[in-house]
Amino acid sequence: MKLVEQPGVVRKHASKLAARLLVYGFLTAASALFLLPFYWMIATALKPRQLVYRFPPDWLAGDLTLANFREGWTALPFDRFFINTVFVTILIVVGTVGSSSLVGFGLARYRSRIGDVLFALVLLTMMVPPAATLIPRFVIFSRLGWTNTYLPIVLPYWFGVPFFIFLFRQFFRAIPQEYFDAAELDGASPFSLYFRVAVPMARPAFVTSALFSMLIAWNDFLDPLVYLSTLDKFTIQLGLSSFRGQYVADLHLMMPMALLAMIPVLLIVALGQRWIARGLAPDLEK
Amino acid sequence: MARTASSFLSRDRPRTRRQRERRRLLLFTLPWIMGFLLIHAIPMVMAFGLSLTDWVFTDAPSWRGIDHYQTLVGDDLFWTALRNSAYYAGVTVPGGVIIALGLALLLNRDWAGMGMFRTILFMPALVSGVSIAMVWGWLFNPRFGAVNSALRRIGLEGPGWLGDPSWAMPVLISLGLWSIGGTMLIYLAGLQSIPQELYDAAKLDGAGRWAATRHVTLPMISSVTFFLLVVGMITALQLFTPAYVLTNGGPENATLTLPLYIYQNAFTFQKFGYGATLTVVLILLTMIITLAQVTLARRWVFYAGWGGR
Repeated sequence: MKLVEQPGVVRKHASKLAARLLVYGFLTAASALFLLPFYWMIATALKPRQLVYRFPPDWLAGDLTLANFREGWTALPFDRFFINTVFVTILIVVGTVGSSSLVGFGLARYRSRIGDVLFALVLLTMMVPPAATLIPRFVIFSRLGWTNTYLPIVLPYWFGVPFFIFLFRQFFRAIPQEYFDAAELDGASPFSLYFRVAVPMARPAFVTSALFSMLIAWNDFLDPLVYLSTLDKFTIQLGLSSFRGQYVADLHLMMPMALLAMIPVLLIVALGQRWIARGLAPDLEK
Repeated sequence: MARTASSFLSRDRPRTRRQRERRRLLLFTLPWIMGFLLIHAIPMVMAFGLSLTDWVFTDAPSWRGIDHYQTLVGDDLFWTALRNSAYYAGVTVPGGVIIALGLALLLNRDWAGMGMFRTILFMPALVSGVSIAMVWGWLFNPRFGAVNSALRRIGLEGPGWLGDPSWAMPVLISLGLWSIGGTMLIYLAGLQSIPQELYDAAKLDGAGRWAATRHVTLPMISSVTFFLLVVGMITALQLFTPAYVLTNGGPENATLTLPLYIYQNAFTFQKFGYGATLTVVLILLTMIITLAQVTLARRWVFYAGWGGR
């Protein structure tokens, strides 16, 4: 039957091919548009200074140089900014994942009316933007004498973050009850249920939460802006922004530093990418 | 005797077990209970309290009653900030959801190369913050930027972008629309969870690709759309970093958003009382919009697990 192609079949094949080309063409154009800002940043970062401020700009620079990176890195203490940011990010990730998973475990495992109320509060709090409590939080933390320290930036994450509590609760609820029952028969305490059963079975949720909270911590700007005042305490984002204040015209130095600020995040997410899809949906069979 | 003992046990055991479970629940959720009070509930009450006072950091707060709320009604800058936030959210949220859905529909195939496209389109979502805001400013630089150079190549003279009151906000919107990778990934996950049988049934009924999208896909992902609109709106109303870094609210207050105006009042003008008043308005506004969305959702969101509308 299929050996002799009817004219209609040929037309159908042709239109299918056209549709396929159209989809590929559109996705290629969209990808080019989405990559353009990255390209523009990298091209500027690698251009010799005199070529940056030229019109029309060259899209492909002839001679590339790392001079901008060297000059930018020492214009402000960027080594200090990086160390500070890594430090703050690690503290935020550990706090977020640790506390949110414990709370999520409690809400998933032990059902009671109090648990329902607490879970409703988690959902409700997701609706209140953190910027909305900026001023009262600042009042509290500055009264405690915590300005120009990392405590007001890091500590809130150690009390559990609503979005991640929600994620962990969904994951832990999907673990079959028999695993917990078996461990309990062996005399496991609640905390060893968490460490020996829940944690190993919800690894994708842990990796995903760690990645997302890392993104939040690394890119955070408002909290460091409000609380940190001396250069030796600055994070990268804050350093970049003060860079702008001091060297208004030095875009050839800002682009390489902006690029360096993005690279760690892009690398870590690239490494953890395969976990993300699994970490968003509690599908434990797979 | 033995019987009463066993009934005694069976009556008593659930109660002690329930108490034990409750104790453990409270133990595990203790961080959140403290966090809810210290980081959410108390600051919100405090914001309301502060909004009724005048407070310069060093002095004690002085009572002002509803003065600040009366000031607010006559404050042109407040209405400008409200309008700007509404403009940004009104374009970025629906626009972002439509673009993300369109891309997810295109990507939802098992053709070669789809994984690469997905990674590229997702990448911008990873780089929020000051660094990308600066790249954006440089991209739209009127003299040396890529955008105006491309426009000139096709014979157009680009505007001053961030220096032009009517173009500054569209530049910030374009940054928001560029970073829709997360929305796209969530849509993609939603699309992949639609059972194939529904499409087979639609095909049997003679539905084409368009009809299947309209009558199967869109209703099946409407709960995802609802979630994304709610979260997107809350996020958009918080717009701060690019507005602060690139234009600091200017030119002519064209990019003064509500969070930026709150920040300026508190940390530039030291007017904590009035800043707290604006905070209360932002909280109420966010809640009202969220509640309105939840109410409207009954009309168009379809929950597959709930047996229909």
